[in-house]
Amino acid sequence: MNQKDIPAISPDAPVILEMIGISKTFGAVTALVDATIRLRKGEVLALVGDNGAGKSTLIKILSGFHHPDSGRIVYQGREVRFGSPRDARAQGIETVYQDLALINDLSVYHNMFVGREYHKRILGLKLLDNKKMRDLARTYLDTLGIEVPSVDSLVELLSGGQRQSVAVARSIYSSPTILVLDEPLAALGVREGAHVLGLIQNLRRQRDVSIILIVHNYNQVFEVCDRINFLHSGEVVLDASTSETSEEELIRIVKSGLGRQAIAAAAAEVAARTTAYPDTPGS
Amino acid sequence: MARMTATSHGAPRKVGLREADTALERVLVLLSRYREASIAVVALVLVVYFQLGNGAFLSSQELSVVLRDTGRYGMIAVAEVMLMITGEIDLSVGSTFSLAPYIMVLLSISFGAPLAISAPTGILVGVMVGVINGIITVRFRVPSLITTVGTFFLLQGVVVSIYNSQPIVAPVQEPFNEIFGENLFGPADPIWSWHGLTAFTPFLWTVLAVLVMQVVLNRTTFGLHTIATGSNIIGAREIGVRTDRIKVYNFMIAGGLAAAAGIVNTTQFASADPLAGGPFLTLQAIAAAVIGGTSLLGGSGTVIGALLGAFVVATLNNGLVMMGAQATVSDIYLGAAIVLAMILNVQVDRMRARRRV
Amino acid sequence: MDNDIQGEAEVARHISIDISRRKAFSMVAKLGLGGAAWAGGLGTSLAAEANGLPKKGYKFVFVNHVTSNEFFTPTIYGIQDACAFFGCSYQWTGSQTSVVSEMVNAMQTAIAGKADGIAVCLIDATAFDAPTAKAIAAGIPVVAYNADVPAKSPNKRLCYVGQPLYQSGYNIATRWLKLVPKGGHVMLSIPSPGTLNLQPRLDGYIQAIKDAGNPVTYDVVNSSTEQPTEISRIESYYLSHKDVAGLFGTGGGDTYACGFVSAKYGLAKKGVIVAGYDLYPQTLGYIHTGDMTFTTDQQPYLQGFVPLLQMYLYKLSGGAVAPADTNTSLAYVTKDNVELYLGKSRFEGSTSAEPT
Repeated sequence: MNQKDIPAISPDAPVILEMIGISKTFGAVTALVDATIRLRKGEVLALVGDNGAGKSTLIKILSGFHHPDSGRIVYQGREVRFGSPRDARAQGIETVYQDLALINDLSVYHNMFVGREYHKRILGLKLLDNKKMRDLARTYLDTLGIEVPSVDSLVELLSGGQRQSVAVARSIYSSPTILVLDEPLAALGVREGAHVLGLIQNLRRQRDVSIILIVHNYNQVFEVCDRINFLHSGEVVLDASTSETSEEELIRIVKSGLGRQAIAAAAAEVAARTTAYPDTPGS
Repeated sequence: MARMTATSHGAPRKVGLREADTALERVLVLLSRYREASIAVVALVLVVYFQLGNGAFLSSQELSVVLRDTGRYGMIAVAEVMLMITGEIDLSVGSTFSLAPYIMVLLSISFGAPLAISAPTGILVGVMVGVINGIITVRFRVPSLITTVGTFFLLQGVVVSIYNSQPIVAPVQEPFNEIFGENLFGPADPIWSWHGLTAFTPFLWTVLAVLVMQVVLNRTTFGLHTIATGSNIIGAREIGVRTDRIKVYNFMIAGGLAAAAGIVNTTQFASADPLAGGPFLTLQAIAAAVIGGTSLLGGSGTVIGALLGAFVVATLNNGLVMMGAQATVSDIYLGAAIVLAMILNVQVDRMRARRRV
Repeated sequence: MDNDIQGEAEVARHISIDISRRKAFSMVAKLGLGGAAWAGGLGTSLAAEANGLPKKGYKFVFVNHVTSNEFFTPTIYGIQDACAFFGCSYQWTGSQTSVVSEMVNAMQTAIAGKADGIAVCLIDATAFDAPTAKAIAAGIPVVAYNADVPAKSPNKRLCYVGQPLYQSGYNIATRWLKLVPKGGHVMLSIPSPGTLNLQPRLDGYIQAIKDAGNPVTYDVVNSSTEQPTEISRIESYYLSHKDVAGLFGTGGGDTYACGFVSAKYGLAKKGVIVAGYDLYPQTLGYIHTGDMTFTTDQQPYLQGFVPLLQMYLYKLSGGAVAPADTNTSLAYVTKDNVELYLGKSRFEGSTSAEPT
């Protein structure tokens, strides 16, 4: 499965998300300095960079887990502020974290519905409608082709790939506008990883959900992503579409020592021959 | 269901779950569904042991004593289970157990309030203690072990200083006392009568608490979020569970249940003793919860198991006396028995887990 | 000082020989100037004169093993009354649960804080020897109350105020052995085996049984220190030994529990002998209704009043007036005299109001 099977994203696709000038410091550690990313509808954006570059912090700000010290977020044309993960989820931004945020002591179907449980009324009390949630989970996982022993199994009994798939399934269940995946393939073997990549490709083909993907394997970047943003020391130093650069080039940039000047020079070089997005007013 | 995998040799190999073949295996599969099975086995073993040792164990009068203790330890154990599932613990339940009825009786005696009014006030006091414990733990990030040790001594000091350590004789007001604890079962009464029923009142109230909490834990969003909070607090927060609130609510439940247990106890004996609940009660209740199958690490627990655990603890306390354990060594037996009960429980649990679907 | 009490006793005897000691004391106190003026003594007429014993701001520390136990409520009242009279102040500290190390720490703190006197319950045979010696060496008088070290102990405390524990157990057992039928089986209970304030009483029971030629067999039950558990354990014992002829406690709580069980099953009324220690209000109630045969009065009020008085006089006189052992008596409370104890009295701890 490679790029050529999937049509490139249309140049008219609207910008659905802009995180502009985001800064964030934790005590003595500066995680983000004036970071800016843009995402178009239906696009798959790769966030790459070394550990500590600020990728996880950036997406945690997007998901409402952290609040930025400065900068703004423009989502679907309006400036927004996410107070909590509940807020972000309510507005259609779903995130699958590195730690998966799965509850080991709950079943697969309960995990799918934490935070959006279905209820039924018995004798005036609002109780969980387990049967409904069980059926919905089973159907949905079947549709996605995800195999688990049973939706009643406790999540702790699943394999790494099954856990990852369930986490992804949970996030796309509510048809989010933006799906963020933090290193979704990190702990997976070849077969399971291919399965998850397949899920992402399916979504990409429909050009409906916009995806931000944090991934370290450049092979995978070029396989499923439309665009790359390279983060280094808290800022975005490279912003190019995957058709305009290559794995080798990225590796060259990385190997050049990641000194500030080297990055800037390499980035300038790429920028000279790529088509950047038209700047939105005020950015 | 066995999954078939085709190999290069063509013949299918069976991997996956093996079907239960023998009758014993079928029974084990059934037991494996319920975590409480292991403590039930322990309880059964103890009952048989003590009944064989001293034929009076299963008499209705002795059962009334054992079940009364079960009720007392059990209600506190249920309070602890909810908190332990969230990964916290409450060591102040013993002092709430004494404080709430003390205040209830003082209100009734000093202001003439009927018990029907002063008892809910006592429960409210317990809930407030829970709020304090909860807020200190989540807002100031003090480990609950320390928070509740502090509130234990604070409340103990309060209840002792109110009236200089004197126990106060509680007023007896019918029908309040009949419903909530007074034991009217005389030697001449038949067991199947209202009087006979009152012999088991403390136990029955605890059974009610257990059933209610069982539904709350397993069938409500609150229960689901409680488990999520204890199992993976960061993950739960990431997916939108309000973990701080969940913890505070559970502290409030713990305080309220401890207060209720104290009030039932006071009604039983018509006496509010400032030292009625102390470290012994707290530790026996926690032991009951843990032996019953609740993990000290958080994330999983069972209230029905806690009730069975309380029964085990009550049985040990009273059975040992009946078997003639002399004073100087009886604590040795009690301690050893608690450890053995836990070991047995863990072993049965492992057998159970191996068969788990 | 000891003379004053005995002097008072003389006066009381002089007034009436048949009235119980308590009643006599109370009458004598009425003749004096208010309840708190007891210690002024009646043999001398100090109390009536303007320049009596001077008020001194001495600070005395009372180290106790069950600081929140209601038994000591009248003890605290006794200390307060003596303090009010002599202008002294007190600190009530120690351990809530008979933890010896906590009590030793409290003594060390008192010594370091240069207390004017220390009164301590010696519930351990040796642990208090070192801090006691240290206090004496620093010029701080040390008085033992309620619990004392064994006879041959090298402990340097100046005197013991309280009930001689072993002897009290022995006497009480001698009394109930006369009531229990020969060949019967009895239950002895103890809330905390081994502690120096209870174990000697139990030892006294057991020795009395032995000395009487073992007329009864017995079991010793650990009732625990928490009230509801005490009741359950004693009740379970009875239900598995329905032929028990006697239930005997060694502490206040377990005595109350014995009374509770007796009242529930009508045991005392059926001839079972139920007896023990101390005057919990419920215990007195059971004696009144006939559900308990007798209990004993340790006079806890005196266990606070007398040590404070002794330490005050020791400091005031520069050591010339030395503390002396005081037996705070062993009065039996039975159905016949229980009336005296019912009703609210500061001396029993059931009310904090001063007598008029």
